[in-house]
Order: sequence, then C-alpha cells, then structure tokens
Amino acid sequence: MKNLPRAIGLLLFAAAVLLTFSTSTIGQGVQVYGVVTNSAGRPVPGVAVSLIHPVNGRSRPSYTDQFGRYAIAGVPPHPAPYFVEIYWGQQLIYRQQVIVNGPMQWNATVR
Amino acid sequence: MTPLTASILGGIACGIAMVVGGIFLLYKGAIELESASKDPALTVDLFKKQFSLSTRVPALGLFVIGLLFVGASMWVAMKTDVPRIPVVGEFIDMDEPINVTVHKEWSVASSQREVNDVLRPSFDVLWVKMVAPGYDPLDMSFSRDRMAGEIQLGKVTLKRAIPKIEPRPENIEPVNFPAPKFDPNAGGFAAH
Repeated sequence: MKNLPRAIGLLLFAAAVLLTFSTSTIGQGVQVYGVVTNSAGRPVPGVAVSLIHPVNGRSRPSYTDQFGRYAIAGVPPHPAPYFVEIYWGQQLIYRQQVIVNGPMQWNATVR
Repeated sequence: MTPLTASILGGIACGIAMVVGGIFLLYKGAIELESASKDPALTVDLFKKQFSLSTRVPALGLFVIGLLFVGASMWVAMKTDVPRIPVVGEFIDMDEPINVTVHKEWSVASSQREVNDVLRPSFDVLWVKMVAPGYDPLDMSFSRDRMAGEIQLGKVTLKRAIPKIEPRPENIEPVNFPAPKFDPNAGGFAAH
C-alpha cells in the first residue's frame, strides 16, 4: 500500500506523456496535391494516386477527377523520402521519389 | 464496444441469468411451479404503476421477465442495427474496372474562429462516385425518397477521356524497401 501513491503518480505521468504525444501528432500532416497528365499533356482521370513510405506505409488512394487533379491530405512530413505512385486500375504505371517537408504540389506526367 | 452495445449484451445476459436461475431454483426446490398462495408471489410495476405484472407462480414470473429482457434487448439491437442499402447497377461499354464508392458528408456550423456544433448523422442524401482509369468520373446523388430501400444506378456508361496508358519501366523508380501492397479500398496514414 505504501507504493500506491507512487503508482498513481506514475500512471498520471504516463497519461500526461501519452496525451501530450497524441495531441502533438494530431493536426500534423500536410497536403500533397497536383495534376496527372499524359504524354500529350491531357489530364488523366480516374487513376489512383497514393504515397508510400518506408516508415509510414501507404496512404489512402486519391482518385484523379476529370481534370486530372488529386489531393492527399494529412501526410506526415518525414526526412526519409516518400514515393508517389499512380495506378491504372491495379497496374502500377508511375512511381517517383518526393521529399515531403511541407505542403507541396507534385504534378506527374505519365509518358 | 459502444455503451449501447454493452447495454444490449447486459440485458441479454440478465435475461438468460433469470431464465437459467429460475430453472436452477426450480430444480433445487426453492421455488415451485404450482401456486403457493392466493396472494401474488411476484409483482412488477412499470411506468409509474401504469403497467403491472403479477404472478402467483414465481418460477413462471422469472421465466417471463427473463424472456422479456432477452426479447427487448434483441429488439433494440435490431432497431439500432446499421442499415443495409444494396447498391445495384450495370456498366455498359466499359473496358476498365470501375471503383464505386458511396459518400456522405455532414456539414457542421463553423466560423473563422472555431467549430462547435453537434453532428446528427442522417442518410437523407447519399452520393455515389464511379471512377475508372481513363474515364471521366461520374457522381450521382440519391435522396432517401429516390432510394426506396436500395440504390439503383441503372445502366451506367462513363465517358472515355484518354486511351489506356501502358506501364513503362522508365516511369517507375525502384524502391529499396518492401512497398506496401496497393488496395484501392484500403485506408492508410493520410486522408483526402
């Protein structure tokens, strides 16, 4: 029973650390957006654009609209580079390295 | 587990405990199936005595109340079940697989300073988005009146915008880590 106050103190400290960490991670993340065009310069609609990262894994895909525009929000900046991938259905047709350290526009031309 | 789910499961557990407990007490001889006296052995008053349930046979009373617990909990569970809305349609003259997603967005009141509102989710209008590579995406909205229990897309044709793009090695940069598998419907670390 002597250790009870210490245990409660440790628990509260751990909760405070967790809360601080979680609130600091919430709200992080930037937007990566851009336009996908083909070799003729025409917008490519309906393709899935996704980011992959060795630590963060894969982002949820964003599908290009009729103007070829896509946007992926909530991307955590990281010193290690990301890779932008574009899928034609299930077929990978494009992958290029990008450094995400803030909101950025990445226009991709798929030849 | 949500509080509602816990309450439903608790209600079912209480009901089963009452029925099983009633059988056990009956087996042990603590209660009898025959009438013990002319006075009610068990009385339950509900809704400020508007509804009263009396029995001179406590064993049956336990069974009935237990079954009521189970039945009421299952009824609540069925009423609060997630609605199932079939999505049906036919795609005409399409060369590519179509990714179909159903969207619903709820707006909440906000200003330039803050957002402070209560969300009341409803399914009055649903949006169906159809996407296929090389085709212009198509959005369709369905109001609750138009749905009538299911989303009927009918015959759908998307407009081809560009010819198919074949993969070329010079467009694909290699990675030095195991690339996570692509799943068009999976979530991930980011949103859009």
